[in-house]
Amino acid sequence: MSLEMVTLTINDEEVRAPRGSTILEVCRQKGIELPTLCHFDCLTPVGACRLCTVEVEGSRRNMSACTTPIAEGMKVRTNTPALREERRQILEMLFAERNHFCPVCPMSGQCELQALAYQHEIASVRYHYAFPKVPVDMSHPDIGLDQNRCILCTRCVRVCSELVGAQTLGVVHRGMHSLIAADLGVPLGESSCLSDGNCMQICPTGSLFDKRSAYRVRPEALRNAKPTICPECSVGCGFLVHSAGHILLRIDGDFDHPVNRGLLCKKGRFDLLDRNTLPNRVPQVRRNGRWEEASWEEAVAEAARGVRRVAERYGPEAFGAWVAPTMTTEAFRQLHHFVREVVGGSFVDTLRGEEWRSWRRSLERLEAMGLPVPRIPTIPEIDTATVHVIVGGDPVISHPVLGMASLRAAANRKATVFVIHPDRTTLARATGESLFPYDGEERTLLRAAVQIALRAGKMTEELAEAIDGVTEKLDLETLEDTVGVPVEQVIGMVNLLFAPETQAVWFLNLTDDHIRSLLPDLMLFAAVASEGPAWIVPLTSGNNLLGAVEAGCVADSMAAPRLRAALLSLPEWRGITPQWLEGLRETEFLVLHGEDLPALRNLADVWLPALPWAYQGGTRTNYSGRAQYAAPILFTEKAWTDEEIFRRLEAAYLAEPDR
Amino acid sequence: MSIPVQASQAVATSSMGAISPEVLEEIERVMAAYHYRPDALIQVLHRTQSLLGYLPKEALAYIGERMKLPLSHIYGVVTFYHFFSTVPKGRHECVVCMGTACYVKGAERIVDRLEQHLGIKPGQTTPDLRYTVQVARCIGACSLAPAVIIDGKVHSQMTPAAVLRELRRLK
Repeated sequence: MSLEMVTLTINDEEVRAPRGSTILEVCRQKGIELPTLCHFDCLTPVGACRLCTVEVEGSRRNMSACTTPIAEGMKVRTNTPALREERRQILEMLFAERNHFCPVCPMSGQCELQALAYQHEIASVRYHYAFPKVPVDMSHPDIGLDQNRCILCTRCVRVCSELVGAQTLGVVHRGMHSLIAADLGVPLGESSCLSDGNCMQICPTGSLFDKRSAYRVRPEALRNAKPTICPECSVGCGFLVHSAGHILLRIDGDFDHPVNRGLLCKKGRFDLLDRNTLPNRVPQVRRNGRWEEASWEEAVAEAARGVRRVAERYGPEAFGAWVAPTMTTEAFRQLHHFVREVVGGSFVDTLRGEEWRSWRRSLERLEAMGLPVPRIPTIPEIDTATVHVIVGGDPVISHPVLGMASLRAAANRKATVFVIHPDRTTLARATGESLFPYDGEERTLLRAAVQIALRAGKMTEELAEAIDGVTEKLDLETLEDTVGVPVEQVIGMVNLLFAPETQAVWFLNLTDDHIRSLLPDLMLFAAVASEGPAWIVPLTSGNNLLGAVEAGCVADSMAAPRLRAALLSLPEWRGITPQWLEGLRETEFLVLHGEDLPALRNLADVWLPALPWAYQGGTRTNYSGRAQYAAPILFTEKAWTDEEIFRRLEAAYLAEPDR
Repeated sequence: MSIPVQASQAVATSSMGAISPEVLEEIERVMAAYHYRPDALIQVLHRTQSLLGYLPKEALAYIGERMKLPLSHIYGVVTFYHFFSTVPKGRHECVVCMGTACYVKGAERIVDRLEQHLGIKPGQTTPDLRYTVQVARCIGACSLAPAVIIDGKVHSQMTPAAVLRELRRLK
């Protein structure tokens, strides 16, 4: 496949570029500078600011380079005195049209409009300032919208509809009275805004600005952002963190990162900033029933002593560990090494390890049946799918950057998005193709789908039988009464899924017990419906479940051995159930690492606080199996990282004299 | 995949406020006639406004949900065109032509007097919903300047007093 090349001249120089490129793309590639404001690489060009205006020989008027495709023999000039004058005029008009007062703008020094004004040596504006009265909307907790500084480039509107898919922002009114508005003109804080802040990040001026970092530091301080990986969920987005001392100022999406390509969600952009108070948290040990503060060395020695005591009295297999799927792979490895190899403990298991086990069991079943093993698509691949099926959960909330892939597919009518969930989730409201089965009736719905496929000759009897209980026939006539979904809707979905040109992607919420119980059958159905390997995205808990698997921290089965001593490593984890606690009642010695969980206060003997995410460096494996190194952003001498804690614990255990 | 028309009942719940089921049904019919195509939005809005006199937010939300169009997009269209209104119109509409000829012949004085007497600017409606005052760029009746359209009827060579006299006759 070779691209058809076009020859044209730019500023008297002959260049060749693939047909379909725009003049701007060719210029950028050849290093020819052209000023732009409304252009943004991953958004549809609109030619709103006209700054990239160029002369094209034979054309009566100047063309905007960002929207004009190249043609054979085209003669383009980008930098004539007339063009420079025109660009100056455009910039002056932008300044005259609204109220741009750089000295009081939080983006001064980082503003693209201001930078272009300097570049074009604009010291005064020849037009009358319009001084319009323009609304300022500070209703959103994190995002300020001051349209005095808006140049109507519509980058925010385009990112909101094209990439995020929320379609909250739009342009209202006309001409110079145009304004950016949310929904039906409601304040941003009361709108359908997902608070992902992607609009804010790509605003070229200070119109949409970050309320948290605004006015806190000089703009120079925001120039040395460190790239790292978001620890919020299993998507593993790349982002850039701006910090000063021990304070995190602001987080920006990394447009060069292949996973998220710049997009972030509310959790990654804003919530993480809140979760960073450097704990003045000192390790604690319980002596004679009372909690006392201790040095790190003391606490670790106490933990090592306790483990050894139990191991000697009951044998090492009376010791084991539970971990949360929220640590780095290095920390998992170190912990596993200590528990299983150094002490000889009976097991290490991950809370929510059942999510992985059910996934693996389902894969094994497909393999045994000779069906192609499903693959987990990356986000760029998901963008090529024509059907999305989201079963249980709401990825817009749990794994938002994945959820945005479904939102934008629905918004731009690139795919049909089916949400199967009893509630009207964010995604279900946005897609309009949703199936709302009664709570717990997902299995009946799946059986109905199988039966419809069987009847239409799309599935063999054998496969249909393999899926639970399809031998006994369902009454499709009454499906709507029993399940709450009109049968026509299920037929429509099945037809679409089995259509030869369909590429479906399934999002399965493994955090939901009920969906997990359905998983083998759901995956079998997906595999049968798909021509090649089915595309399935498992939505799992934590940020590094796969890393825990790699490090051997997910046990083969959810056995509940009777332990006399346990290490609980639960940083950033609050999902403790009472049933799970029951299993710890018989322990004599308990080391808790992570949060100070009230539920465990009475059971634990040593508490080792975990550092916040920004201090933890290490590898995490994201939902699709991509292992990524997350660099630490902050450093402290006062406390140890997770990996360091387990290394010291192991050393203390080995150093412990035998008697 | 098109959605069966009956599904509208699921959406049209209590949130529809003052909009009657008959009106909703008519709006639904118009949308169905255009196969819920997004490019038929203006026609749908046009019909809705002619049914209700204006475009209440509930109606816009309903249309958005049924045609799968975001509210921001609908609101952009509604505010772009002068024709559409999101506030209730008065029972009587008075459009003052502000074209060049009418302007020269004193249309602005008419607008000023209306503002003084009714307390509303062009584009607004009196609180008792009796009158709505509008201005038009040019209605193409320059020989009748200054021209005023009251409830669809063109009045020629109007004076401020004559307009007020006409309006007072309307309840």
